[in-house]
Amino acid sequence: MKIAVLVKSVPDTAVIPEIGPNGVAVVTGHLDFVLNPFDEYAVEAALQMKQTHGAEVTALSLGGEEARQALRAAFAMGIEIGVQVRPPRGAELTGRGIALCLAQVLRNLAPDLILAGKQAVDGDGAQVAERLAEHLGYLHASAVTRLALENGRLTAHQAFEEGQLVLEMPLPAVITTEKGINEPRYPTLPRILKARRMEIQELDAGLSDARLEPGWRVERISIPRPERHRRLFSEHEAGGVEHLIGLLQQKSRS
Amino acid sequence: MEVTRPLGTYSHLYWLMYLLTTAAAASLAWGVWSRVRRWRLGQGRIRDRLDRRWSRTLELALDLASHRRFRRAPHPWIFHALLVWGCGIFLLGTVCVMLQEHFRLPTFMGVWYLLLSLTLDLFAALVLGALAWAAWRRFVRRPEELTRSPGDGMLLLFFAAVVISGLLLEGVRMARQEDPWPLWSPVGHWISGGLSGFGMDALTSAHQGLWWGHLLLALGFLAAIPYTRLFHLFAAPAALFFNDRHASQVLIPLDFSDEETAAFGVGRIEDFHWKRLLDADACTHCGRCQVQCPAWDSGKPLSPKEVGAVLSSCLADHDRDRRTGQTGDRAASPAPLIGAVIREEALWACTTCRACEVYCPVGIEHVPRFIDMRRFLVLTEARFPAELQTTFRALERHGNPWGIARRESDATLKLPTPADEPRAEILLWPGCSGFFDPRYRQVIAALAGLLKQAGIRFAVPGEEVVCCGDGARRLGNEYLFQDLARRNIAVLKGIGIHRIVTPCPHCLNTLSNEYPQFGGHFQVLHHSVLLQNLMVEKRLPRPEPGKAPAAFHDPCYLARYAGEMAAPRELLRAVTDSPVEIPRHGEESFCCGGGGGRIWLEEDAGQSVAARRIQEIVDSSLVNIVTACPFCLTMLSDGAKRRGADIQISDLAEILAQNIKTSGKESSHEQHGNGGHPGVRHRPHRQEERASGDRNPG
Amino acid sequence: MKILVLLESRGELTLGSLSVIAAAAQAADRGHMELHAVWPEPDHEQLHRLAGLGINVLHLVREDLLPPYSQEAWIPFLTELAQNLDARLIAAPASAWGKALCAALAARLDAELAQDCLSLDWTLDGTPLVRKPLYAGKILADLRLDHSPALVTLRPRSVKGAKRDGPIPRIVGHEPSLSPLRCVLKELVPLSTGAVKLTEARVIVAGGRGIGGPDNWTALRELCDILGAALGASRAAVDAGWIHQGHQVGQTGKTVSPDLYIACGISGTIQHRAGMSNAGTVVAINRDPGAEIFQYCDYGLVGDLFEIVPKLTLELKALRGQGS
Ligand SMILES: Cc1cc2nc3c(=O)[nH]c(=O)nc-3n(C[C@H](O)[C@H](O)[C@H](O)COP(=O)(O)OP(=O)(O)OC[C@H]3O[C@@H](n4cnc5c(N)ncnc54)[C@H](O)[C@@H]3O)c2cc1C
Ligand code: SF4
Ligand code: SF4
Repeated sequence: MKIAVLVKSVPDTAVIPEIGPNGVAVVTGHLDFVLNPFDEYAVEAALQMKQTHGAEVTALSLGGEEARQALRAAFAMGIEIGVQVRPPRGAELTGRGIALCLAQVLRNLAPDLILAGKQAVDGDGAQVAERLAEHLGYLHASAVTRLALENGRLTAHQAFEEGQLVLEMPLPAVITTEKGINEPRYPTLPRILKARRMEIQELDAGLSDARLEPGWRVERISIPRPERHRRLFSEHEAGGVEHLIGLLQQKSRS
Repeated sequence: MEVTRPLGTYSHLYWLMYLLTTAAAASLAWGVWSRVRRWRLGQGRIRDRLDRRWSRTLELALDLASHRRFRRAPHPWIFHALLVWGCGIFLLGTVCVMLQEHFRLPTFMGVWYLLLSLTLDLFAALVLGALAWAAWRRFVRRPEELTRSPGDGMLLLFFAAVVISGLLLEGVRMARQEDPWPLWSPVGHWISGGLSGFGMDALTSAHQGLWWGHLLLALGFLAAIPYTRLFHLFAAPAALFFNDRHASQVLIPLDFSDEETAAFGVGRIEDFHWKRLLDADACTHCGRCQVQCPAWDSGKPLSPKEVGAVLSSCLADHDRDRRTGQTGDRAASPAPLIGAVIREEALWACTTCRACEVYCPVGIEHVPRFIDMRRFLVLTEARFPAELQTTFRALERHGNPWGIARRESDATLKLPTPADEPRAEILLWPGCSGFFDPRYRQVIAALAGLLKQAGIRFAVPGEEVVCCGDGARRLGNEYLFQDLARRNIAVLKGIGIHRIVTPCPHCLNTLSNEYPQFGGHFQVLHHSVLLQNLMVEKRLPRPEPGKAPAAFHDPCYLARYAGEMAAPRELLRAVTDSPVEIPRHGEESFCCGGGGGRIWLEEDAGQSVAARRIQEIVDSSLVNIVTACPFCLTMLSDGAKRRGADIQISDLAEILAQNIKTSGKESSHEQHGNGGHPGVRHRPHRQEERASGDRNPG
Repeated sequence: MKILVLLESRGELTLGSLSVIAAAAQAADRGHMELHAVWPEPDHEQLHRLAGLGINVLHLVREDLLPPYSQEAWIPFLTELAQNLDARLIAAPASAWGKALCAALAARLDAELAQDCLSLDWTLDGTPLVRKPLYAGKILADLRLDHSPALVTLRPRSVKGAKRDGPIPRIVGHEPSLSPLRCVLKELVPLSTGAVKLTEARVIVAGGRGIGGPDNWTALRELCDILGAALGASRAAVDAGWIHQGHQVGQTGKTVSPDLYIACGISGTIQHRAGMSNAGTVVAINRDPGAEIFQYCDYGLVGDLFEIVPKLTLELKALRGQGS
């Protein structure tokens, strides 16, 4: 079995990104990059699959230097093959472009299973994996909290607002991972050190800039005013419960 | 007449004596060498512990002569001292005889002889007494912590036989031939009195028999040293000589530059530094460490004594296998240590409190060996209690152990940053608790208020600093620690204020003792020291002390790591008229359970350490506990709350600030009727306390 | 030009769908466009509720032809519909269903997709504008969706002031052909307190020492049921033996990140906070106005949890009963 895991570096979530001088871009150059947390679940799921069913697992990451960091993080967890997919120089990629580039490479690799985090926590795009499934003609399940493979069929618990859909499908398929699916392993230091030296294959997406041109324009980037307007309702103050009801209605099952 | 005693009775048989002596010496040398050889299986070089040779020698001499490391209540020390001193005297006497006999040096003559003779006699008697006591303790009183083996009885008898044969020999000599100075050999004289009925022939053959008997016993004793528990006669002084007082404060950094390294930390016995192997063999199984160990005391599967014992036998096995060729290739057949020899839970149970080290008469460095093995588990195997992953990740991603995002507005303490206060003379380092724990931020606020009041210009580092790394390092995550340390050092160097004050003893140790390993040299003070200085210099007003009794709980990292016990007590005296002590205090304080990264772990087995400490506090009817460490504050408060005990736990800075404020007010008002201060409450009646204790049984 | 909205029902039309209709109707008005809607799992009794909201055409598929859960079934149909309509914009609620469906649809239509948008607007020259959160909402991006078609999913908002005077939608029926499904639904596991894993829950109701005893969880459990929430606890409650350790949230318990965390009778020490500092909105109910949790919650109610929690449950039940 061949498994592909899609990984991405995201800026350290602990730090607030800054807005560039033109006001339409986020500056991330000064930030540390870490492996997207949802991708850690995907890597762990792939490693567990490998352990139980035996598989060749390849991690792929699209991008420049930071993509290599994501691959090294995946190596540290135990992945053995890493592919950096290089986008055309200077291309500004949206989820659409990313999926097109990755599809180009994955078509040749033809994995039986593609795993990815349910979204990257920087752009919160939440679409690349599903798009890939469409480009490649694979089935897909999103935000999966339980995954099992038996007799060549996948059983995936897909989380949604009212519970879980237990889906069963044949391979090939694309699965995105949600927290709770597993507990990603903590890499050992010898692995971390080895990861620094492991070879990364490089592939070009081989698509033209025009094909990848974003279909939208960023007008403005802003930092929201603190959403946390604290409200404290003292005892017997009117309105507290009513206020809360509104909130609960909105936050649950919407 | 020469003042001496007749020697050389059997000089025609000296060749035999020398032959036997050589055999005994060879046995001793071989035994010692084979032990030394196994220590050499360890890592590091002998040179690591050969700095300061003179002071090491002097310290050792002092240790042996004064037995200062034994003198900790409730453990008896004088009996052991008598044995050690006795051995020393016997050895001296024997050497003197030898010098006199063979080199004709006047070492067994004159007044010196008389004194020596007297001392030898007296010590012989005392040593017998001490041996009898030791036997009683082992076989009658049987304290739980003491490891006993049947061999121990034999050894005591053996020792006694050497001494008794010597005394009898003297008695027979004095009975055979009148000694002109009988009172200088009182025991011999007394024995000779009982022998007056025997004829000369009987005495002569008895003398001959005893002479050889004594010689054989003494040589046998020597020869047996390396093969019995007596080996500590050699290993313990060696351990003391090579002891590094700072071994636990300043852990040996790991080198990560070689990317080929396949294992970090200690996963096999031979991965230990040689001193740890020596330590394992030097342990006398006296169990003092175990009695004081908070982990053992609270029912965890850890006894520092047992750890030494199993390491020692593991080393012996490994050494034997190695030489009988059973373990060929190191890599092919690693002798696993953790799990097989030492339980993982035992490793995680240690709070690094150093009580064991303070109590160990042999100067064994306990803490580093736990950390060596934790390093292996964390770095090489990524095997650790599940909750630690959260902590490690939080430290990696957020720089604090709770994973609270830095930028949150409440992370800033609203205190001047270095940018706000460019002329700051002191950097106030709040530590993670100071930044993020709402409870502990009250302590920082109090401390900042006091500094302001004393007119000190200070600044607080901004959100670019991260956790000092103490927890990470002591949990074995050296890689994470070094990353945190390097980040902080860079930031601190950038800020450029080299005087740092912190209320956290863990930060204190790490910043002042461990950061120099990575090029960060800062002068770091604990807040208790700074506050006390300020009070002495009258930059802070001396508050009117309250009436309610209060006691100081010594944090391990303040008392045992930093050796600071005086300043907190000075401050305590300033805030209360009746400072009292918890039974275990000062260097002998009992841990809160939070050190060594334990505060990030759940305590599953047994009772909690904090509960044990709270028990001690409740038993002493104490209500106001003052401490000076964020972990102690958390663990003890939590312990008190879980028990439902009505105990007030506060930090020194808080109490001081409160009392200065109220006495400032009171000086202009009437004194309050109860004379107490808000920070320090009066003790409730014993009755109430029991009631609350009963409600929530420990 | 047309806007196509995808409606979702779970028992009834979801709040998210209503708010998408409201936003799209407004945009359609501004851009002088026709508003089309697809309702995969229509409740025919409820069709009247769509009257006047601004929908011009409602597309319904003959019942049982396309299983509502199946993206595999719906994607070809929706692709074709969008293409036939030449929709300028396709909007759906930012629910698990809506987001996954739109992502696949966007690939088929080779279009851009902005997920989880907070607002939808329309420029005078007829271009959709959306506000999309990045970095978990720490940053907002205003996007101009130049390319046609474009897809958005919208977070639910208040539908107060929504259009009421629109037309009655014209209904168009469809009978798409369906090839056999490869991905099948084996089971639907509904939320119930027992089933929701703490770490996965979107809503958590947690209780602490304030619960007061092992038998006092009923109030919280009922609230959990109606909210589809998981039940959490502080260590104090676990320690006291009132609830199993598996429920413990905190430094030495579970780390959770629900959208909503309701702490009842929990003082909120740092060790507890360590487990829930990633929660979206934090609500605290506590008797003690000085409790630490009030320092970092978004909504705090000072009062007795045994009064407040049942009141919440009751009102929510009433609202649900009305079919909000
Ligand atoms: C090493 C260590 C690890 C820890 N790990 C964790 C952990 O993982 N998770 C965790 O939660 N804690 C943990 N703790 C414990 C933590 O410090 C607190 O003690 C604990 O969280 C307190 O729980 P609580 O808030 O329920 O209880 P309390 O602090 O006693 O608070 C109870 C609250 O309930 C309120 N209250 C009482 N009755 C009512 C009522 N009828 N209506 C409304 N409000 C009421 C009170 O005002 C009070 O604020 C840890 C502690 C340590 C030392
Ligand atoms: S350091 Fe403290 S906890 Fe650790 S073994 Fe020694 S006495 Fe026990
Ligand atoms: S380690 Fe020290 S205190 Fe503990 S048993 Fe051995 S000699 Fe005694």
